[in-house]
Amino acid sequence: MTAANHPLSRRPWRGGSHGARMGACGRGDPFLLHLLPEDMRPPDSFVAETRRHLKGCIDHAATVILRELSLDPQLAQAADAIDPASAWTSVERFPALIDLDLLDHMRARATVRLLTDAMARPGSPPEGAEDLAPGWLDDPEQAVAQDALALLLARSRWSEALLADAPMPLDLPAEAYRSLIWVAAAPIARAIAAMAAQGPERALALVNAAVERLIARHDEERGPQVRARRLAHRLLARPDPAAQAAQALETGDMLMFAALAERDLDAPMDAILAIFWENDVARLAALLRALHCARGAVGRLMDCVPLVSSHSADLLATFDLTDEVTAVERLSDLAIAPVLAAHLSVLEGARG
Amino acid sequence: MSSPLTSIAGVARAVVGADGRLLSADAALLDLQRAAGGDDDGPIAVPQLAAVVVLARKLGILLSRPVVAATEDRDLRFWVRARPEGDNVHLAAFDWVETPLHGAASDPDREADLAMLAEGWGWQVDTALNFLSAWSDRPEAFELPRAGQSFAQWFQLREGEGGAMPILSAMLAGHVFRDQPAVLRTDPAIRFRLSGVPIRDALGRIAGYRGRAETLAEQAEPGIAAGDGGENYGGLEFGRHLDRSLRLPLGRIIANAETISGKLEGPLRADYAAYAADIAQAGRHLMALVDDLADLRAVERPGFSTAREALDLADIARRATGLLAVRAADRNIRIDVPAPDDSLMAVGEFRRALQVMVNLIGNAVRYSPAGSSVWVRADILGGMPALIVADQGPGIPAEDQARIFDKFERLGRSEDGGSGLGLYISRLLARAMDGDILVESERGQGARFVFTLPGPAGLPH
Repeated sequence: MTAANHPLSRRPWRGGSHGARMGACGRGDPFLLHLLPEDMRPPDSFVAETRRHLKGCIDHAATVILRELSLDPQLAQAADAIDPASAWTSVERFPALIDLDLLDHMRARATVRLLTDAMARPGSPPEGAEDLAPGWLDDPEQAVAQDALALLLARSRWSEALLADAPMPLDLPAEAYRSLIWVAAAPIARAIAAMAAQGPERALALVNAAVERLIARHDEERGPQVRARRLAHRLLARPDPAAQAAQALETGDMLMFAALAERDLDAPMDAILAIFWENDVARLAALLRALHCARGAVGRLMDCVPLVSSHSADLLATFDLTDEVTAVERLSDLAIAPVLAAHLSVLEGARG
Repeated sequence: MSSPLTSIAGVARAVVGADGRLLSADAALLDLQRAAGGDDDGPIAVPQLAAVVVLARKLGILLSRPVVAATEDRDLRFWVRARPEGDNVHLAAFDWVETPLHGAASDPDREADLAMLAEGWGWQVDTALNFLSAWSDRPEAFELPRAGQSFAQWFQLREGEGGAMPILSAMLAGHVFRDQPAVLRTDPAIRFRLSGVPIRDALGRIAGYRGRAETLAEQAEPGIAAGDGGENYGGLEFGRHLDRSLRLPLGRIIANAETISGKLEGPLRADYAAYAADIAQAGRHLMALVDDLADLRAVERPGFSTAREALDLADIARRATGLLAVRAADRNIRIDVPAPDDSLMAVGEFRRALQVMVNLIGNAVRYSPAGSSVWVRADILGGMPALIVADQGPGIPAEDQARIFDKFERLGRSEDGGSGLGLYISRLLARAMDGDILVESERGQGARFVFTLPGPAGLPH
C-alpha cells in the first residue's frame, strides 16, 4: 500500500469547498482514488503526513489504553498480552473506524506541520521574503511571550515525533481525543473480550470504565491548537487585531494563522486549515485576501502549498484578482454548521 | 444592560448542575448571566457558555475554550475552563476582553439604532450573503431583491470617503456598519446607502445581517443614458423602472396564477382554481393600472407631443378590435368592425391612436351586457376623420358626461376593474394629436364615443 492508494487519501467526488472539507465521498472505498483525475489526488506528502499523525496518535493511544487497563487486576493479564501495534493494524483493515471529523483533524495537523516547516525552511527564500516579521516569542508582554513559547514547544513535538519515530503526542482537542481513544480502544476491547476469563460482557464493561477514566483525565489545553487559540484570544486586546493573521503568515506560523483566522472569521480552525488542502485555489486566495495577507507572503505560500494540495492554478495570480468583496462572499459558508455542510454536500453530490 | 462587566478581572467561577442551571456563581459571571436575561439560579443564558457546558458534560473532558458573549453594547470575550465533576460542571472564566461594537466609541447602542432606523427599504441576508427577504413600505422604482439572490450580485459596493468600505471590516468582525455606498448592479444610476446589524444564532455565532438600504436621490452616473424618446422624468426613467418594479413581478403573478387556475400542473380543487383565477384577474387589473400610470406620467409631462404621420383609422379600428377579441369573447360580446377593405386616412401617431381605440373599445366591452354588440365605424364627422365606438351598455347620464374624462373618475363604479384614467389619458392623447374625443349617450341607451383626428390635407408630402 502506498501513500497514494492508502484509504486515508480518500478524496471527495466533487472538488467544491463543502465536499472537500467534509470528505463527501464518505467512508470506505479505497478504489475511489483511482477514479479521480490526477489533479484531484492529494500529494503523497500530504497523505503520508496525515497517516503519520494518525498512526502516531493511534499507537500512542493504544499504549496508554493498555497501560490504563493493566492497572485493573481483572484486565492486567490480558492487557499485557496485547501488542499496541494491533490497533493500527485494525485501522488499516477497517478504515471506516476513523470518524471523518477525526480524519479532518489529522489533515489539519498535517497541513500545519508541512506548511510551517516549508515556510520556515532555510535556503533560497523568494525575493522579498528575507525579512520575516518577528513572531510573538519576543513580545514585551510576558504572558504573550510565554504563550507563544508554549505553542512553539507543543507544535514542535509534532516534528520531533518524525525524527525519533516516537508516538505522536495525544495533544488533541477534546472531541478529537475522545474519538481517537475509542478508535484505538475498539480492537483492544475486542481482543480482551475474546480472552477474558470473566466473560466478554464483563470484560467489555471493565474496559469501557477504564477508558472513560482515561478520557476524563485529558486536558486539551496542553495541545498546540488550544494554545494557539489561547494566544489568539490574548492578542485580541492588542491594537489592530485584524492585522495579526497576516503577521502570522509572514512568520510562517500556520497554526497561529489558523487560530487568528478562526477568531476573526468565526469559523472552526480545522475548516480554515482545510482550505489549504482543498483543491479550490480561489477559496484559498479569498482566505488570504480576507485576512489582509501581504503579497510576498502569499508568494512564499504558493511555493509550499503543493505539499498539501494538488491544484495547479496560480495562487498568487488568483490572489491578485480577488477583491475583498468577492473574498468575503466566497468565505461566507465557513459559518455554516459542519453537519449542515455535510448534508448539503450529499445532496449536491446526488444532484450532480 | 448595566455595565459592571467593564470591571471584570481575574478568575470568575461558577458551578452548573446536571439540569443546566446555575448552582453558584461569582459576581462577574452572575452579572453576565443577568445581562443575558437569565435568572440567578436558571439555565445558563449565554449561548456559547451553555454550549461549552453541554459539550464538557457530553465528552466528560475538561474543556478549555474561548467564549464570546454578545451583549447589547459590546462583544465580551473570555476564556473558560469547563471541568465535569460528577453531575456538575465547574467553570472558571478569565482573560476577559471587551470589544466595543464597530465604530461605537461613543455609543454602540446608538450605532445599532441608527443603522436600523435609517431611511429606505429593509433587507436581510444569511451567512452566505444571500437575501432572505427584502421589504419596503412604499413602492420602489426597482424590483426588490428576491430571496436567494446574492447580496454581492444585487448591490455593487462603492468606496466611501477615503476609500473606506465599512461593510467589509464590519462583516468580518460581526459588527454594525453604516454609510456603505452601493449602487444597483443592473442600473448603477440607482444609488444606495447601506447600513446593517449582525444577527446571531443561539450559540452566539453570526447568522446573517439585517439592515436598511436608503435610496439616494437619483443621479445618472457618467455614461448612463437617460433613456430615449424623452422618457426620463425628473431624472428617473420612470417607465423603465416601473416596468422593472411592477410589470415584471405582476407578470409573474399573473402567469403563475393562470398556470394554477388552468390546472396546467395537475388536478386542483375547484375552489382553489377559482381563487387562482381571481388572483390572475386582480393581477391583470393591476397591470392595466401600471400601464395607465406610466401613460399618465408621460402625457402630463410638460412639452408632451406626438408624431404626425398618415394613419388609416379603419385599420386601427380593426387592430384594436383584434387585441380585445379574447376579452370580448369571454363575455360573448360581438364587435362589429369596419370591413377589411374600408379605409379612412387621418393624421396622428399610430401607437397613440391605437392606444385610444383600445381604451374606447375596451370600455365598451367592459360596460356592455354579456351577449350584446359593440359597433366600431370609421367615418367623416364635421369634416374630420372619426372613429365611432357604440355599445349597448347602461349609457351615461348627461350630467356625468363631462366628468367621465376627469382623472380617476369612475362614476362610482368600483368593481369594474378600471383605473379611472383611461378616458382622461385618451382625451389628452387625442388632443395632443389635434383631435378630440366626444361622448353622446343617454341613460339606458348605450354610449357612443367619437374619436376625431385631423385629415391628411395638411400632411406634408
